[in-house]
Amino acid sequence: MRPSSRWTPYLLVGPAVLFFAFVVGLPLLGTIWMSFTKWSGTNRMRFIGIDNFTRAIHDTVYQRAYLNTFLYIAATLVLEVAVGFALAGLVSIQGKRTLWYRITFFIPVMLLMVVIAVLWSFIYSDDGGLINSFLTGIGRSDLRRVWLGDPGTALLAVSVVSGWIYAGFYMAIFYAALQRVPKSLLEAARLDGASEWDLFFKIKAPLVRGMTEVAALLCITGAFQSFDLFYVMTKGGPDHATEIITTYLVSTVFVDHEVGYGAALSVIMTVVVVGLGLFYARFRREGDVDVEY
Amino acid sequence: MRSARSFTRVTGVVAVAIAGLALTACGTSSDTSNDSTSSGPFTIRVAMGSTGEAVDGVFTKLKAAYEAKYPGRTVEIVIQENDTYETIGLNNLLTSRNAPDVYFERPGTRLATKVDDGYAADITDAVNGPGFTGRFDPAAYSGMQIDGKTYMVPWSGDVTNVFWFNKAIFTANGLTPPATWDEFLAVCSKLKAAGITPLVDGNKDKWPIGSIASHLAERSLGNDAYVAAIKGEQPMNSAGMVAAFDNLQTLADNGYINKSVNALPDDQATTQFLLGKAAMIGIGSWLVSDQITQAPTLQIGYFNMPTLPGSGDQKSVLGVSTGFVVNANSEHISAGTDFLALMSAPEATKLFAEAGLTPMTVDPFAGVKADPNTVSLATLLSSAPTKVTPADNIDVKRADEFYGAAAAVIGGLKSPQEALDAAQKRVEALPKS
Amino acid sequence: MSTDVTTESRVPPTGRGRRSARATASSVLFYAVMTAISLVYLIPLLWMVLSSFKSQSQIFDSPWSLPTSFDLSILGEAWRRGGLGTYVLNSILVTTISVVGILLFGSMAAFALSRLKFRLRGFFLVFLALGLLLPVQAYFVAQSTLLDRLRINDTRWALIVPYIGLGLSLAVYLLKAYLDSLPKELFECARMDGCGDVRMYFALVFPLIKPGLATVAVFSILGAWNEFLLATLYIQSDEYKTIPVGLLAFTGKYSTDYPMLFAALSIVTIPMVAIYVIFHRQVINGITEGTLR
Repeated sequence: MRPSSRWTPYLLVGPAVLFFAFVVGLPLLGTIWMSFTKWSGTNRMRFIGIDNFTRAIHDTVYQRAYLNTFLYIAATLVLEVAVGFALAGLVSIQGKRTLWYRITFFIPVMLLMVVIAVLWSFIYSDDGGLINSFLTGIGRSDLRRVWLGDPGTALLAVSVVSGWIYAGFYMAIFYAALQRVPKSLLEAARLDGASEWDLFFKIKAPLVRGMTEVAALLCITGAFQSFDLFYVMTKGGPDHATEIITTYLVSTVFVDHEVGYGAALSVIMTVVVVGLGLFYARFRREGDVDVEY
Repeated sequence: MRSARSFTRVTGVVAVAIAGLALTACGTSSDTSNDSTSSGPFTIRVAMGSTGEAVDGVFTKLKAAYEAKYPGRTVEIVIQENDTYETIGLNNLLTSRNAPDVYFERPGTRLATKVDDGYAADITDAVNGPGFTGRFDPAAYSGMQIDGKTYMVPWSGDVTNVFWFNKAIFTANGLTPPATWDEFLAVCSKLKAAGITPLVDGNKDKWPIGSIASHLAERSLGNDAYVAAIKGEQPMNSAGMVAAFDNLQTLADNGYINKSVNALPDDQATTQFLLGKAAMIGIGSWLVSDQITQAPTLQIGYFNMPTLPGSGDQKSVLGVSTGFVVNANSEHISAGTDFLALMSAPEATKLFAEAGLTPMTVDPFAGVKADPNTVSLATLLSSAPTKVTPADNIDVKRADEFYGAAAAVIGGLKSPQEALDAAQKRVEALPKS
Repeated sequence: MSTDVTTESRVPPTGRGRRSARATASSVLFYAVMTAISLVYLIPLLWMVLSSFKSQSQIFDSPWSLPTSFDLSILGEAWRRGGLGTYVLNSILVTTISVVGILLFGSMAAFALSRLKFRLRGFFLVFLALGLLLPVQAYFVAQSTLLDRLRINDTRWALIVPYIGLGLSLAVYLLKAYLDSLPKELFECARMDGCGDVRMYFALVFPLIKPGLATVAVFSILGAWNEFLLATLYIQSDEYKTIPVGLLAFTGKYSTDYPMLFAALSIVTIPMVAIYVIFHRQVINGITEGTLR
C-alpha cells in the first residue's frame, strides 16, 4: 500500500529503528572498531591491526566453544523440540483429561533462570544432591557421577536442564497446532480402525510440519544466545567442557581483561551467525512449503 | 534508486566514525583529580568484595564512626560478591560514573596496573602524616610502593593456603598433624580406610587448588624459578613443575580428595568441612571468619604445607597482603585517606581482628580477644623466611592456564605432563604485551 | 500403546459403551506415564521449597527427607536480609516500561514494514533481523561504553533502553507476520475511506493485532524479567538492582546457609508460579495465538 505521505512510514518505524540503532547497531560498529585494538577496558586503546583475528584462528578454546555450541544445539533440538512434540502428542490423545499436566509441564518456562540454575546445581551436586542420593538409595551407586564436574557429562547435564525448562514450551506450541487438525479427519481415521499411534504419526505429525520449522528456528536461535544457565551452573568449566561461544566471550572480556580480543571473537561469531541466517533464508526460498489449513 | 544506496553508505561511515570516537574517548581517564575537602556535604564510596559476614559488618560500624567524626560526609559501602568483584566488578565500577573513591585491591602486579591506568592516587604524604603514625611497620608496605611513592594502605595479611583439620576426627583416629608430605599421605590413607573423606576442596573457580599448586611449585623449584615460570620467563612444563604436580595426581589417584572438587564452589567445600563431612580442607586464613559464624564450637587446627623433596624453602608460607587504594579520579582524596586512617586506627584493628581478619597494623592482636588460630597464622606469616605469592597475583593470564592445568590434574583428567604441556602451549600463544 | 475398539460395532467416540479391558489398561498406563513425567517437573520445585524448612546438615545428609518443622519465618527473614523488596520493585518498573515501549514501537514499525511501501523498507527489515540472531555478547562491551557516554549508566534507564532495543526484533518479526496474514482488503478499504497512515495505525491496526500483542507481551516480559548479564554490568547501586542480580548476589553471600538460600529462591518462585497457574489460559493462549498466525 502506498503510504499516505512521504514521511509517515519513517515516523512509524522511527522509534524502533532509533532504539535498535543505539542498542545494537552502533555497538556492533563499535565492536568492529574495537576488534582491531588491544584494550584492557581501563588502559589506553592500542591499534594492532588484525592480530586479534590471527590469534583467534589458533585459539583452541574458541574452537571448542563452537563445537560445544553446536553440540548443545543438537541436544536441545532433541530435548526441547522433539520431547516437546512427544509431550504434545501425549496430551492431545482423544478422551484424556490433560489440562493439569499441560499446566505443570509449562511451569519451568515461567521460572527465573537464575533460580533454575542454582536449584539444578544442587540437584546435580555430588554430596546432598537429589540425583546421586537417589541412585545410592536404589542401590545403583555405580551410576553416580559428578554431573557438573565431569567433562564427559557436564554438557549433557546442562542440556537436560534446558530440556526440562523448554520442552513444555514447545509442547504448548505444538499442542495448539495439533488442536487445529480437523477433528473430522481424525474421526474418520479412527472409524477406519487407526490406532492412536497411527493417528499421531500419519496424520497429526505431517500436518504440523510448518510449525516444526518455526520451532526449530526458535530453538536454534535460542541456543546460540544461551548464556545464563551456563554461566551460573558451570561458568564454562570443567576444563572448558561447557564453554560455549557466549561464555567464552564474557570470560575473555572480564576475566582476561582482553576487550579488543573479545571484540574480534564477537565479530567472527557475528559473521558466522549472519552467514548461517543467510544460508537458511536462501535454502528456505527454494523449498517453500507452507502448510495452511 | 541511487539516493537510497548512498544514504546508507553515508550513514554507515558516519556511524562508524561516531562509534570510534566515542570509544577512543574513553581510554583516557579524566585528569581532574581535585580535592574538595570543604564545600558542602558529599559522599565517598568505598568498594570491596565480600569477606564474609563478620568482616562486612565491621565496615558498617566504621561507616557510622566516620560519619560521626566528619559531619556532612556520608559513606556508601559497596560490597560485591567476591569473585564478581575480582573479575567484572572492580573494573566496571572504576570506569562507571559512580566510581569508588576508595577500593580494595591487591599489591604487586594488580596495583601496578591500576597505577598505570591512572586509578591509584599517590598518597605518600597522607600515609606519612598524622593519621597513620606508628600504625604500620615499613615492611608492611612491600608491593604497595612504586618508584618511592606509596599508592596503597595495607589492610589484611592472609595466608592463602594451609591445611586445616578437624581436631575431633584426628583425635578419634589417633592422628597428628603431618610434617612431611609422606606423613600427610599416610594420614590421608588412614582416614580413607576409616571411611572419612580425607581432604575436601571446592575448585570451581580454580584458585583453591591453584594456590596449592603454586605452593607445591615453589617447594619443588624454589621461589625464583617458580615466579619466572609464571611470568613466562621460563617454561611452565619443566621437570620440576611436573614433579610438583605429581603430588596433586597422587591425591587424585588415591581418592584422598573429593571427586567433586572441580564442580564444587569453594564456600560449599568450607561448609562441608565445618559440618564435619571431611577431615581436612586446603584453604586460607579467612576460614576462621567463616568458622566463627557457622560453627563456633568446632575445634579446628592447621598445619602448613608439609615438607617435600625439592629446592624450595620448605618453611615457606603462601600468603598475600591486601590493601585499599584511593582512586586518582576521586574528588575527595583526602576524605578517602581519612577513611583509611580510620580503618587503620586501633579501634578498627580490634574490630577486624575479632572478626577473624589478620590486620597488618603493628601488634594487631593487642588487647583483642582474637581467635588463637588467627593469631598463630599471623605469626606464621610474619616470621616466614620466604613468602610465596599465589600465581594469580603474579600474572593473571598465565596463572589462568596454570590453574587450569592444576584443575585438570586434580580432577584426574590429565597427567601432570599433559596438563602442563597444554598450558605451556597456550601460554606461548599469548601475545607479548 | 494401541486402542483396539473395533471388536464391537462402531462405538460412538464419546459413548459410554463397554470399554474393553485393554482400553482400561492402556488408560492406566497413560496416566502412570503422565504422572511420572509430572514428578520430574514437580519434585525439584517441591524440594526447593521444603529444603527451606530443613536444617543445614539435614539438607546435606538426607536430601530426600521431609522437614521436621515448618517455621515460615525463614521466608520473611530471607526477604528482609536479601533486600528483595527493592529488587522486586525495580524488576517490575523496568519490565513494565520496557514492555510498553516494545509493544508500542514494535507495532508501529511492524505496521509500516508490513503494509506500507517505502524506500529503505528492505534495509530496515534486514537490520532488525540481525537482532534476532545475535546474542547480546556480540556487542555488549561497546553498548556499555555507549550507555556510559550517555550518562544513563547505573540508572533504571540503563536497562530499559537496551531491553526495548533487544525486544524490538522479535516484536517486529512476530507482529509483521501477524499483519501479513491479514487480508489486505482490510487496509485498502480504510485507505479508500481517506484514512491516513498514523490514524490507521491507532484506529485499525492496534486493535486488530491484540492477539499478536499478547504473544509479544509474554515473550518480552519473560525476557526482561529474567535478564541478568546486562543487569549485572550496568547497575552498580543496590537501589536499582533487579531480581536476578540481587538473587545471585544473595546466593553468593549466603551460599553456606542453605536453608536461607532456598528460602530466598522459594519466596521469589512461589508467587510467580501462583500467578501463572491462575492466569495460565491467558499466558498460554498469548504465546500460541501469535505464533500460529
